[in-house]
Amino acid sequence: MRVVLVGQPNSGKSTIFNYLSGYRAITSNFPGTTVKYTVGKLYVDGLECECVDLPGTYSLTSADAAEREARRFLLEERVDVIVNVVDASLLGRSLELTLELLELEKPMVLVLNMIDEAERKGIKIDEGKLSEILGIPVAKTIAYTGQGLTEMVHEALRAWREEIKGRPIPFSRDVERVIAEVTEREEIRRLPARFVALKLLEKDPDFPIPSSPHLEEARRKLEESHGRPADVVLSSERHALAMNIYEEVVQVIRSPRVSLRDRLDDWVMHPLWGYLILVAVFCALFFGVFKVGSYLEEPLIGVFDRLSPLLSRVFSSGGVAYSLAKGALDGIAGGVGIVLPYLVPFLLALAALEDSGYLPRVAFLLDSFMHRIGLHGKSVVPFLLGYGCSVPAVMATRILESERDRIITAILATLIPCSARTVIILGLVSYYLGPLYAIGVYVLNLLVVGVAGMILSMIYPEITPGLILEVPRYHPPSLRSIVIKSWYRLKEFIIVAWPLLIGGSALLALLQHFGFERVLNRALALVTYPLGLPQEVGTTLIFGILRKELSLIMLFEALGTKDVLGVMSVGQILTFTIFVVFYIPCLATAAALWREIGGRRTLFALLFTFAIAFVLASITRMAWGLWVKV
Amino acid sequence: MRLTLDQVSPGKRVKVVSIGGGRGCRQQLFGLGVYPGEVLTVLRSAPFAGPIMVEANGTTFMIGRGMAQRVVVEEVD
Repeated sequence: MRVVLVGQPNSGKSTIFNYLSGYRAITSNFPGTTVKYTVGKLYVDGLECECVDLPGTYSLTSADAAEREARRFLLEERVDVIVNVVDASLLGRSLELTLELLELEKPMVLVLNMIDEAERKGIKIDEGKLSEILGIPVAKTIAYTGQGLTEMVHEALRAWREEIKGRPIPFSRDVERVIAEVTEREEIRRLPARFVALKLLEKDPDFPIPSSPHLEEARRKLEESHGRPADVVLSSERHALAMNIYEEVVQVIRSPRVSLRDRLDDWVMHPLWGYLILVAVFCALFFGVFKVGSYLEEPLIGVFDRLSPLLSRVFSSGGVAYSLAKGALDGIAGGVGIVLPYLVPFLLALAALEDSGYLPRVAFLLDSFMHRIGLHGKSVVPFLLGYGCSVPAVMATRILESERDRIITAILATLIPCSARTVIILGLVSYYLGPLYAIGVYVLNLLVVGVAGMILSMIYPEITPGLILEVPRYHPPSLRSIVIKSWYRLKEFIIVAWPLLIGGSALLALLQHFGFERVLNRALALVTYPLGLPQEVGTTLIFGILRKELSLIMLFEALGTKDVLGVMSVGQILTFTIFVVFYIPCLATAAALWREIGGRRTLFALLFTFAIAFVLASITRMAWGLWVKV
Repeated sequence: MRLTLDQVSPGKRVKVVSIGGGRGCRQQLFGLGVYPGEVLTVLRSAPFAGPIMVEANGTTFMIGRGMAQRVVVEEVD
């Protein structure tokens, strides 16, 4: 049996999904976290069920790519039972999607999630009456505590076994007459016929059929009698129905209290304090991560420094085995000593920030700046995710409506220093030169993203459609969700990157042992020479394409020391960091880009970012040279 | 008095008269429960001609100036 979770953004689908399947979908407190569907398995009464978490969608009239994905799945894939998750505190609005889902004529259950929040708002819902009106089972849940979820699963099972499909609720009589004309006259091969008829009337671009005189006639009739475009007529009909049902099943016990949110938002979204808070939050984030990281880094590296002399006792120094073991040990040390101390606190902090509901507020504050680089506020979300990892950032561009915005945002998001690059900035610049330099790198990065955005907007000179974004409630971040999310992201590093790091480090040691890396470095001098970098760092740049953090670890390996300042000047360290931060995104990101914006544009993105890196690194080199002379 | 949503000052309640713009834009607003006839409360507006934050039937959302210009409203006392 395949259970499919459908609902509006932020209704708690992913939380329910996590609870059910034990698989960890990423949940967040902003719309559009699930940009691609996730599949998990669960067992109910010994029956194996497949559970699918679809991206949140406001309606089945798709606007952005994530919504289109949800609708495509519902229409084209096998769906045994639909579990429609609804934020109970927003029932009126949510019922419109429910009414549309009923038109799909699939077994279905309605889940009133966050029922506690609805009660806090003073709303009491009569689920018996609601179930009677819609003709499907209705369950009440509080997803984050797990309350009601077992009952919900059993209701879903029942709906599937007994094929409880509910029934589409009829619109006004004249509208129904037009719909009937279309279903009768048009040859609708795709099912469900009523749903398709509605889409045809709406002129949905995803339902192209050669327009027939009957259809045109029917649409004209509808538009003339209502004086509005057909899609407005139908949406308004659904809205009116939803409102009627809402009135019937909801009892407002008391008016909602002025929430803490409004008072908090007065500060957080204030024209002055809002920006100060924004700067403070991000400074605190990076300083905090740096403090924790450097506090942990030294003792951890110390452990490994003490281990390496032991190696020379086991293996004869100078032999192949020694080089190999030393390389591998450095790889392990790099993971434990350099990456983890910064990565773990960073991921935890980012997850807390995501869950709190702060990010949409950032979109509010930065929208006008984003317009200046040809985008709008929603692009802030992929950018901020980019500080964690470029792959989810590139994928999160699916929440944007226009393809042009998606392309530009995806390319720019790869320029944002991800946690791997943060490790380099913190572990190299901040550790050796001081935190102020690191902040300088971040500020420079923002400027570069801005300028690159302007350049890309000139290449794709279309006007951005503008921002419409729901502002979720604040949530005290739940520890469980933060830990799960961070672990999910950290696992990527441990499973994929770390073995690469250890293997790469051993490989480099071997190459060095046989003197091969000199050949590579000489070839890469094409890049390193004009930038004034030591030739030995050449190979590290290759490893950086596999995983960005490898550049740093390999740098230690290539230079043969952790005392970077002894062999590289301050200017060289800065030039190296700038180059590594901006040049070609790592393989995983390139693959994500390929999927999202296509091969040709990915190639363009690679060349574009490489050019930026090269130019900036050259400027850094020259500027630093002048600065030192002065 | 009729005006567009971007001209409404924070704290005011207004009733939606019509929603212009393309199909995508209005369907997005429909998704949030904003229809002609519904009452909106403008909560605040961002500086530098940024978006405005609006509440409608318990849903809070932000809408960019460009889009807000296409929403015609009238004041409710």
